Order: sequence, then C-alpha cells, then structure tokens
Amino acid sequence: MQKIQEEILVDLESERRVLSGMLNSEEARIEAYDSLKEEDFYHPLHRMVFSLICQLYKRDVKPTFAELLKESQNLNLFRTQQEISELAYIAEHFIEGENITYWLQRVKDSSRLRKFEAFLRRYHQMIREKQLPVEDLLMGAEEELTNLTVLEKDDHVDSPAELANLGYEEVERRYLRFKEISEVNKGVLPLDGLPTGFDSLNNVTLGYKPGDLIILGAQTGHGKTAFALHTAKAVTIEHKANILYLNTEMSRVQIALRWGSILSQVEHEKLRSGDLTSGEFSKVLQGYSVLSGSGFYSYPCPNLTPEKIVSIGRKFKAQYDIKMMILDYVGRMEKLTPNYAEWQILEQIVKTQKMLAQNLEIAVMCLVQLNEDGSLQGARRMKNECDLMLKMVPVSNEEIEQNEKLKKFRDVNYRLIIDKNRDGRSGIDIMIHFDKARQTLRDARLV
Amino acid sequence: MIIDHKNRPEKWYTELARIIGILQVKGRLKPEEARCLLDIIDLVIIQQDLELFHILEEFTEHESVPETYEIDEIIKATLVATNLKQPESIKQLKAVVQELVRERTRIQNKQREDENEYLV
Repeated sequence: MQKIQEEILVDLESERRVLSGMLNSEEARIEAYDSLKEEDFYHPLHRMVFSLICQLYKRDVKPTFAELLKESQNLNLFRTQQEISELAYIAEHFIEGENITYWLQRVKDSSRLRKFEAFLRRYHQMIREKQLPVEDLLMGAEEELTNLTVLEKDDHVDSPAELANLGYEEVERRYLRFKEISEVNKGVLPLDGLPTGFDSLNNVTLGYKPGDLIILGAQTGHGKTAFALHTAKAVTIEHKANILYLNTEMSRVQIALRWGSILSQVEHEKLRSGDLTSGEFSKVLQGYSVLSGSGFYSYPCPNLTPEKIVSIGRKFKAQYDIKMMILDYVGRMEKLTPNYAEWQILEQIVKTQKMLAQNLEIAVMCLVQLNEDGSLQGARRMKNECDLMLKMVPVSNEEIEQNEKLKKFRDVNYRLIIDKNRDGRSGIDIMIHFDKARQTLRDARLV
Repeated sequence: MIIDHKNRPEKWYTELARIIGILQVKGRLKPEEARCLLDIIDLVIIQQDLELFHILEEFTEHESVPETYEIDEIIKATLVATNLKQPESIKQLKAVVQELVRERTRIQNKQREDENEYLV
C-alpha cells in the first residue's frame, strides 16, 4: 500500500528528466523556469538542483554539469559523494527539448496530487477534531479544492474585499498623482507606463503600460522600423529600461547602421556609403557609445514563429528584465499552419502577443503592414485584441493646403491615427514629422 | 526520445565532472583546483577548444621528472590563477602554457639524450 502510494505521489524519474532537459536544452530551461516552482519537486536534492539551474539561467550562464558543481561549491552544497553521483545520473538522462512538455506535465501532476493528498489529510484531521462548524468546513474545502483543480499557479480569483482594496489603492494613486501634476509638475501629466517618444501620444495614452499590446500599421517604406527604433530610443536611452527588439527582415548590420543615423543625426545614406566628414564620423562614434550603454537587445530572426517569440520573450524577461518587446514585423513571420487563411494566422499571432504581454507584464508592440488603400488585413480581429492601435500614414502637400488644421503645423508630413485606445481617447490624429534621411520622428512643430 | 550516450563526448564529460566533484568532496582537490579542472573540461569537451586540448595533451604526454617539477608547478599555478571564462585570458594562458610545455619537453628530451649517451 505504501509502495503504491509513493509511486503515485512521487515521480522521481520525471523530475530527473526535467532537470536533465534543463541542463541540456535552452528550450527546456525556458519552459521549466516558467511553469515550475521549487516545491513542485519532491526530492530535496532535485529542488536544490532546480533552484541552482534557475539561478544560473537568470545570470545567463549556461548550466552545464561543471557550472552546477562550481555553483554548488560556492554555496557549499552537495557535500557527499552520493549527491554528486545523483547529479551525474541526472546529467546523463538527456531528453530532447521537444519532449520537455510531457515530463513537465508529469512533475506538475505529481505535485498537484501531493497537494491534494495533504489537503485530504488536513481535512480528515479537522473532521476528527471537530475544529470547525460543518458549513465552514465544507466551504473552506470547496475553495481549496477549486484552487487545486481549476486554477493554474498564476490565476487568482479576486474576493469582493480584494477587488475593493485594489480599486481604493488605484484611485488613491491617481488622486495623489493629480495633486502632483497640479502642484509639482505644473500641469504636465506624469506617465503611467513607458514613454512613447511623442509628447502628444504620451498625453493621450499616458505611456505604454505593462500588459499592453500596441499595434502600429504602416505601408511598406513608410517608417515601420523607424517608428520601432524611435520607440526603442525613448524607452532604452531616455528612460533607461531594457527592451527586446525582434526583426524579421533586416540584418544585424542594417539595424546597427540605422541606430548610427538615429543617434548621430547624420543622414543614413552617408553612413551606408561611408561618405562622412571627420566631424560626422565623430558624432556617429558618440552615438554608438550611447547605444553601447543602453538596454537595447536586438534579435534579428528571419524565421520567427509565434512559439519562438514566446520562448525568447520569457528568456529575456527572466535574464534582462525587459519592460517592452517590439516585433518588427508580423507579416514576415513563418506560417506554421499553411492551411489557415491570412486573417486567421494574424489573429493567432496577435492573440499570442497579448497573452505574452499580460503574462510577462511587459508592453508588446507589433508592427503590421497596411494595404495600399490604408486598410489592414484582419483589422477588426486585431483591433479586438490590442489596447492601442496606431496607423502611421503620410500627409500630402495637397492635403495640407486644403486642411486648415494641418496648416497650423510647420513641418507635418505624417500623421498617427489612434484607431483604438482602451484607456483613453481614440479616433484622433497626432501630427508628426518623419525625417526619412535620418530615420528620426518627432511631434510636428506648430507655426 | 532518450539519447544514447554510448561513446559520446558528453559521457566522458559527465564522468570527468563527477570524479572532480567527488575528489573535491573527499578533500583530494582544493576548491580552486576543482574549479579550474571543471572549467577546463567545459572548454575542451563542451566548447571543443582543440588548441587548449593539444597543449594539455602535450603536457600530459610525458611524466614529470625532478628537473621539470618547477615548470609543472608554474603551469599548474598559471592554470589555476587564470579566469577561464574570459576569451582574452584564455588566449594569453595558451601562449604562456605552450611556451612552458615546450621548455618542459626540451628538458625531458635532453635528459633522455643524456641517458642514451651514458648507455652507449
């Protein structure tokens, strides 16, 4: 009986497989780090190994067997021959990364069963000792059991008191902020999230907030990447936060050259041809020195899939505490399900990005391509999922001449249409200036 | 799928790391010596640094003799003191150790020649 019980509740083999997978495959490390906790392992040594691998992973150190031994040496762990041999046994039981989900599920199932068994024992004891009235006992048991059966580790149901408290704290925060605006900042709104790089857009949105999905649409050759790098500049260089930038169509060199132009204000074409004066060359070097100390992490990846994005996003959140991820751009992503229609694939990608933003508590920006008529493929579905939808469209000279409102601006040549804004005003346009030669953007100046 | 480890370098790597770990637990290796050896097997087996492998291979080819004890100690101290995580340090280490190993081989060859002369 004891043996059967242990076999059901304790699955040491799966624990070893998961740990071995973590030692040998990055994919396995990302999955396990995200979905398991130390207490999900039964064996104390396995808990320790899991914790060590996670610590190394967070420091971006590849957790080889030797690294694990060195880390344990630093922390004065693994003091017996048996412990080291068990670790060697784990290291040898390598599984392919793609099988990790099966072993992870087994570890999770055993962990949940152990919690269930502990729950039964506890309530059995409470019944015997008649500690609580029957009604309270049953209600308490029901709540615990629901948590155990339905909810994942990160899910949480708010009680009325918790929700009221959350509301109170939020209103208090906003009340104090409002006072601060009127007294200290002289009417300038402080941001709730990351800066957008445009004062006018900051005012409308209060910044890109954790959990936000932002979609920016523009036609080919109309500044998608420039907008992405402009955002990156505002977030990483001016705000000093870390960002992950995924580019599906440009090479490393192309991205680096764009930065050179943005940060030095020297024309991009000059950087490409090398036709620079010594003064310009010096400015470019200064620009790269700024980039070098920033939190901009770039991942050029032509064959990006939604699954890979989730995996990379998790990794960078754990290792670099990124506050934002920019995907440039969605239309160039690998289609794993070729039978799907274009809009179905786009919907799938956008849904994944929204979930990622919420789970990692980061802002995610997706760049999409507008059709020639300015419309967007699968626009309604994208709009449903996102928190902020922007379209960047050119403003022609004819339009400026005919429109009195546009005449008020000195150098407007593009507009940002706020198609959707979950937390504020939408249906408005922001006038901007896009300097194509230097790849920079800013609010348009008033006459 | 479980991967067969027979004859794979990873098998040797795990076994070597295990032995180093156990020797340290038993007090036969100092922590810094164990750390250095673990770094070396990471470099040679996992990162496949063949240059370092060949230098160390030459070093271990001939057994120590009293005339080379001093060089052996210098090589060991150099290995232990080097940060084997930094590519620049590794580069310098290889140059220094290679020079020392050559000198060691030269002394051993000379000694062998002297012995042969004596036998003749």
